Amino acid sequence: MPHRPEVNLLLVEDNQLDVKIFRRALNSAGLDHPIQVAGNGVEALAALRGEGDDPPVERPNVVLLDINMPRMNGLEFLRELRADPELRNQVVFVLSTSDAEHDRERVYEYNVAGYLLKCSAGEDFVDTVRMLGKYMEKVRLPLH
Amino acid sequence: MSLTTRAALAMAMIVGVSTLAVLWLVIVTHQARLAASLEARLTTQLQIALRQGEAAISSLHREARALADGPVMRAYLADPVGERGMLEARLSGLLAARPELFQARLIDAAGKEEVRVERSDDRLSVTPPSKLQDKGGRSYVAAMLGLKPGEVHVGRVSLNREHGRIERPLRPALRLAVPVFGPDGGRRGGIVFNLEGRALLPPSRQGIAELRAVKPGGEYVLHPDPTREFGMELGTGQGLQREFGVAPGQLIPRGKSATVTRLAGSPESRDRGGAQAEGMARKAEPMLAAAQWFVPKGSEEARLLLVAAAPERAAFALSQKTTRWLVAMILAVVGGACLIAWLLSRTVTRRLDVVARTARRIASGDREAVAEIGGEDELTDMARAFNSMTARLNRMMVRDEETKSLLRLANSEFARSNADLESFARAAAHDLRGPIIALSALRDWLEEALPDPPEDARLHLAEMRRQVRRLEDLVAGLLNHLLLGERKPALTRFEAAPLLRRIVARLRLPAGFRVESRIDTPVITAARREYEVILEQLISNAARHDDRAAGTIHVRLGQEAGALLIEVADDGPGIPPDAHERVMQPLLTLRSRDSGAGSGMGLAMVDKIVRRWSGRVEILSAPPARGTVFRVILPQGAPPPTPGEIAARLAAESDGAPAGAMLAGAGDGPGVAASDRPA
Repeated sequence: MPHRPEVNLLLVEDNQLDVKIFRRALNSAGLDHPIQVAGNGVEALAALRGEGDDPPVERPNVVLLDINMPRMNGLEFLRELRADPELRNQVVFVLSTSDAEHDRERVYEYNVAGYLLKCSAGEDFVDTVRMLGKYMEKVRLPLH
Repeated sequence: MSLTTRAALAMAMIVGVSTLAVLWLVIVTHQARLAASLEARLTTQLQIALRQGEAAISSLHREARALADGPVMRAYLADPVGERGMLEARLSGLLAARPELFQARLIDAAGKEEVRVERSDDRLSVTPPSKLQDKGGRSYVAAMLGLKPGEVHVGRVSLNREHGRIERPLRPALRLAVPVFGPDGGRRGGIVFNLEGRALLPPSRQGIAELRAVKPGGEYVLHPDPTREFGMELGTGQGLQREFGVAPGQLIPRGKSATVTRLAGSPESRDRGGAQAEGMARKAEPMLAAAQWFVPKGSEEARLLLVAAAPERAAFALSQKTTRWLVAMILAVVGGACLIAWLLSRTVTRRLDVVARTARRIASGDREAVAEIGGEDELTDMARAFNSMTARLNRMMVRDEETKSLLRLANSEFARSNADLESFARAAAHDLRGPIIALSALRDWLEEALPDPPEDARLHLAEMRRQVRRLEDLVAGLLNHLLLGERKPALTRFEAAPLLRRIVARLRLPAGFRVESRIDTPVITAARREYEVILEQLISNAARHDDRAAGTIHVRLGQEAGALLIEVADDGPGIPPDAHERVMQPLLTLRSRDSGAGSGMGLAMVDKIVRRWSGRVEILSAPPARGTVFRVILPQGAPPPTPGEIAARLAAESDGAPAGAMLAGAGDGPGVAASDRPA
């Protein structure tokens, strides 16, 4: 069995509490993927492209995207991402509080891998994150 | 055909017909007079003919008497041998002077011819004594020898015969005889003239009148058609009887003055007279005839019936000149009527044209156009009414446009404020979820941090969990309610029974509750998602509000008069009538929050769906009697428009209007507000 590089996570989320919830859920699910956090779409793009001094987020990687954010929200980020020839194959999961059909459809237009619901019941969310871990384990992600 | 032409034609027709009618009326009313006039003319013709005949006879009579009593005759009687030449010369002179005479004789008392002069081939000749004949046995000689002095005998007209044969061409002849007496008064014989019959008779046609002379036996002596003359003598059978079916005596009795009779052609004449085409056509028509007996100098045997006749229609016949004049008059009158009608209707139609042109101008957008026509009549009234109508229409349209633009403005304002309200509510509900989730997570972490909490803290944590769960339900309900109808629902066909089963299973009703169903319509065509929401909310509502731990919920799914019918009946405590409206409003429940009330959005969602489909919710409940029936009537029409569509339609309607810009701005509202809002 060839060596499988660890999947890096980029969490795009402005709310620190949500970041904390996610980290705890990740722990509860027994996952230890490296996590990088971007506060908004602009920061996330910078992280993926490796602008400034930091190198780009290494592949294989998965972006976890919140929709409501300041400066550049999730939809604007996705539009930019899909327009970039380097990043158009980026795997993205959306994490949203909105269960509205309308929001869901708009997001899927940008070919996201899934639309995940943030929910209050602790176990439910841990389940979601566990599924994400399973996904990263089983699904072969693009390397370049 | 234009109105003008039609009016002119109608006028011409009316005038033409009435002219002809008047003409006909005049003819009818004057018929008697016209007939009388014809009769008078015929009678006059007859009198003239009679007088001519009498004059001719009288003249010959005078001539004969002058000869009989004159010096030549006296000299001859005194010396027959010596004076014979004189008498011959005298007779020859007479024949030469009177072309109608073709024989003049002196016959002695024994009936022998003494002197005879005759005309043959236009030459006068004196018959030599050796050729003189004895006429002793002839009737005219006998009649002559019976005459008293001064009397005259006129014989009947008959065809002249030479040597026993009828002379050709026909020569009707008659004899006129006067007696000759000697100086002693003794009868010496008489003078006999043979004369042309036609000399006595008038011409057979005079103007429109035809003259006929008929012998007492009915034989024609004179007839416009010469072939009918002397029917008896020639054996053709022609005569008055044949032609008109009457005998001379029937036409007029003897001795009576002239009378006028109407003669119809006899059938016999028409049948057998067929050989003469000319005659046939003419005799077929009825004729007016004036008839009188002509008795020359009392000679009964020579009497003739004179008939002056004319076709009856001659009374009414107009002369060619009159006819021409009449036709010209009628044409002139009709033409004049035509012209007048054309001119009259032209004045009307020209003014109508003005109104029509104005109407067209108004139709093409010139709303200020006014029909101006002169005069003071019905047309002016019409134009005035037309103008006031258009003015009123114009005012109405202006007002309508004002109302419309106001309405557009109000609509766009309403749409915008509605959209603002919705986007605010949505964003609020949306943004509330973050803190709720955090609250829930924090509570969990607190529990984790305190593995063995004191009793009251444990209770508080439990209560906190409940309150957070309620908050979450509330927000989720609000959001669902707001999002309802955002998308156009698609109509699908689905089976009712399995759907109901799944919903009941999903609701996880408390153990004591049973759902009984009655499905009248097994396959339902509806917006499935909305149908589900209604059922879900009604059933869960029924279970939630029962005051007992167990109950039966009756669900009936059916269809009536083009609408779907959903009935959910419970056996709970019921809803007082004054609260029926309240229960359908969002966030209003009848019970306190803590006693197990729902989110407060369930029935409001049902109400919203039903309203959008123009249906209604009926609540049948009257406490203290137990039980409530919710009856939903959901029309099966086209899906209702979504708020986005309504906004778009409003925008399209006000296209170009000042309100449009505002509305277009407002239209973006609900679409972008949900997720693009910065946090």
